[in-house]
Amino acid sequence: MAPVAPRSGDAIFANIERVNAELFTLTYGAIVRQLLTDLEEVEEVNKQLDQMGYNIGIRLIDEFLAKSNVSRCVDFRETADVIAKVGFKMFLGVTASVTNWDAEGTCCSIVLEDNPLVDFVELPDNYQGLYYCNILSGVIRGALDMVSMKAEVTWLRDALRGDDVFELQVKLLKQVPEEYPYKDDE
Amino acid sequence: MATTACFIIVSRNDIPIYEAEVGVAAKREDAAQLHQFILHAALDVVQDLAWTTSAMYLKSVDRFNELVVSVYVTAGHTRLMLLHDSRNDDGIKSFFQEVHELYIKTLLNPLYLPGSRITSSHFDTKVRALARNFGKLFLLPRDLTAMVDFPLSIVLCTRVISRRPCLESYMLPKVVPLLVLQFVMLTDLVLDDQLFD
Repeated sequence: MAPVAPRSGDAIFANIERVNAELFTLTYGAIVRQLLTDLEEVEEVNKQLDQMGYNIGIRLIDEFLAKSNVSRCVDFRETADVIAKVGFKMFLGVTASVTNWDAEGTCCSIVLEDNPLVDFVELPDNYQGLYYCNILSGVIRGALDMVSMKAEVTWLRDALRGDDVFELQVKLLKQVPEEYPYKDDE
Repeated sequence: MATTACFIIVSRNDIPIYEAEVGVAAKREDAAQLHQFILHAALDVVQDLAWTTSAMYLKSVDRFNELVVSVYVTAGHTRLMLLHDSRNDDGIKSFFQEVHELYIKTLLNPLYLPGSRITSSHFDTKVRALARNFGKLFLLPRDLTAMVDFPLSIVLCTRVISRRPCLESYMLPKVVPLLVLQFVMLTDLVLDDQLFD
């Protein structure tokens, strides 16, 4: 299985349009801040961020496939690799690493050492339950959903809560077989 | 004995958002209230002074007995105020500039509401560390001689002495005359960060 897909997103990242990192970080911060004010419950904010991420993900995957020239992945291992090496580089400008595979190859961890979303952030005591970057897990879930993979994405480690890195656990629940959308007689 | 430095940040709405007693702990119980009182009284002076100059650092604006109030006003009219009992403009100025930097970082945190209390422990540790570094500059030797008043300082002094390689070889007598100790302390303290830890 010779992977034809680019092994890193550097080339694409160099050609893609970019915005100022601080603008990006502070805009995201403003969104989270506003959600916290509007929804009041930290749990609700986590849910909302995840939902927003999902909505981004189901659109983002199209741009990703159009610009990155990756071909069909043969298995979930390759998928995870492409997300970490190409996807993250393309849209966040950082590269993640993939570790902690389980025996069946359906569950792995994506480790982000550098996360531009959290540049100035420090969790105050009253928001300890907040998953500040929950939008990322939503994006991955949404994107995988669009390529017929149902996945569950959870945070294992969060640098804002005192861990050293960000670790996302991606668990493949099932691969949905592609169905031809129309019945013959319609 | 007055080896005091009290640092507060006052928001543009005149609400204190951060307070720290830095430097050597105050002896008097009501010292904290006294410091607040003095700093509070200085706010009026600051209000008048702030618009007369374009500089952020207003130097010392007010004094009470031997205590001096130095103030730094940010562009957003947040006031960093330091109560201290010595004059070292350069040291205090750079202390203010570093704290200003830290304050900006705090402001950039989307989860911090501008004008609310700064509860971040990270900020607190950083400010105290800065104060320790610059503490040598706030505190004049005059203050340090006062420290010799209490027994602990003897331990401190001997520690300081024993660190000096040139003195290490000497067999120090058990009781070193206080005057000698004072002298050694004064010459050595400027180099010794550990003393304030």
